[in-house]
Amino acid sequence: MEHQSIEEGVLLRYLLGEMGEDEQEQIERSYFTDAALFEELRMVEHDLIDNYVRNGLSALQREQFERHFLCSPERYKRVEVAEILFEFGTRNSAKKGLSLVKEPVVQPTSPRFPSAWLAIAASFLMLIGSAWLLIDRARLKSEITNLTLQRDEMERSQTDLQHQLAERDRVNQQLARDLDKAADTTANEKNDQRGTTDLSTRVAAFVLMSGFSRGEAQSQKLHIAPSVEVLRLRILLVKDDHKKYTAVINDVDGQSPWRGAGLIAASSRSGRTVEFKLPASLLHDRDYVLTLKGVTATGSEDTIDEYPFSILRR
Amino acid sequence: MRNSHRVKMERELTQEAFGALLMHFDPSPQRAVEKFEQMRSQLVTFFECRGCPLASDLTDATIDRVARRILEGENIPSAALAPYFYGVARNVFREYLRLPDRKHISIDEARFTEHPSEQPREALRRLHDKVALELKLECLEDCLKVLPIDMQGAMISYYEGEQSIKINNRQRLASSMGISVGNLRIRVHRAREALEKCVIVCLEGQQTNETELLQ
Repeated sequence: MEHQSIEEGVLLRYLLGEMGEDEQEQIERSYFTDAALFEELRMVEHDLIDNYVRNGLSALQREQFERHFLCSPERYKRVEVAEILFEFGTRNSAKKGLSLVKEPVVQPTSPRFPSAWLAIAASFLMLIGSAWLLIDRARLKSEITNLTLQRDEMERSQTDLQHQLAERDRVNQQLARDLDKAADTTANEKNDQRGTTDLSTRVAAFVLMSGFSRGEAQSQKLHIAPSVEVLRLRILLVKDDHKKYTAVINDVDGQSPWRGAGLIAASSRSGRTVEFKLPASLLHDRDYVLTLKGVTATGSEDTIDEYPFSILRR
Repeated sequence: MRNSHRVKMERELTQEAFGALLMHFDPSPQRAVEKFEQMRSQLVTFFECRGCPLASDLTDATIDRVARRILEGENIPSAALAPYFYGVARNVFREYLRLPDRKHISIDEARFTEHPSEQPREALRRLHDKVALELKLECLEDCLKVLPIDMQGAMISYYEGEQSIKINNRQRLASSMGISVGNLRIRVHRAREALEKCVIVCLEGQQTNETELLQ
């Protein structure tokens, strides 16, 4: 089989899970029949692991590595071996570095020959230079350590913020459920949801309920303040059977002001949900239906459910 | 729990079925085993790259299925064997996706981000426990001795140094061996594959010893 040359960057994207189904299949068909390409893939995998161990990946790549690449116990073990190799290499480097400092080159001194004085001066300068390099290296390492600590602190802050957002979402859902219950027990009460609005960010969050679960004739009313710029909509999935989802919003005239593709379900305390944002300016005071579709392995879309709602701007 | 989310595997891959499968790879037994090992590695990579935590189990299921079909008389030309394996692997993967309880995996099989109280960096920071690290380094040193002598030194030199020092080291190493940097990379990669297997077995042995001591 003729060896196919595929760029390392493409293989890296494959390993980090950045490819669509068609591209993945193309790569896989190639390396299943081309031993040299498969070896190249494994070498790129080793380089990727080494870069991760050395903190040489970008923040996005590191997240993809931890979320997608580290999916199996076997891969974790290979990372563990890389850590050991890295430690082993570091210790060997340190030993060699120390030995160089301990054994400076000293030229014989003989005042009769000017060139000897030059040699002595050169050796002295080399010694000063080496010492300066060591000090500078230590300073740089200290800076790197500080930056690493700062980065870790920022990551912790980000995680805290994410927890806070998740908690707010939980409260939103509870509010929506409570409102639902109140609406169902009162004959004349209209089903509406005001959601929660973060005034500082101009985001209004709502939980959409299936039209069938609420009765076919009922539609959620979403009250939106004039200041709202972004709508955040969340759908609770009964079953999460698809890797990706598409959401389409249509109005009663069949116009589609918004479509979101490539949506991925996430876990929340209420279960598996699909969540997305859209500019509030796309929707006006009228009735809409959001259709949620699951994307199959062949790329076709299966309709899962429909969520009717109305926009009311206060 | 682990059995509940396995694809049906028919673990009775008989010697006869395995022999028939190997013959399809190559008439020479030694070459057949090499090609089988490569195919197994490709299958594991496929399932891992598709995000399956049970990549080894799904690989075994795929191999079992192909072996069974060959034993039942299905004629698969050698040139078509690799694409055939890939097709069966994709089917196994699709079946795995449809399993209702595949989301429920034990804590030991969970990915780092699924551990309720653990982050990947925290898990890797544990390596820095001094005692454990020294034992792991012992494993590495023992396994390095299994490599050919010229590769022992090469492996040590290849992973020394930071950035530019490492790059210069590798160029010097390649020159001293009379090969290109690209060739050096391939040789080191193959040695590392063997080293990984050895170190992993050694580490698992250490964990077993720790477990026995604790009992």
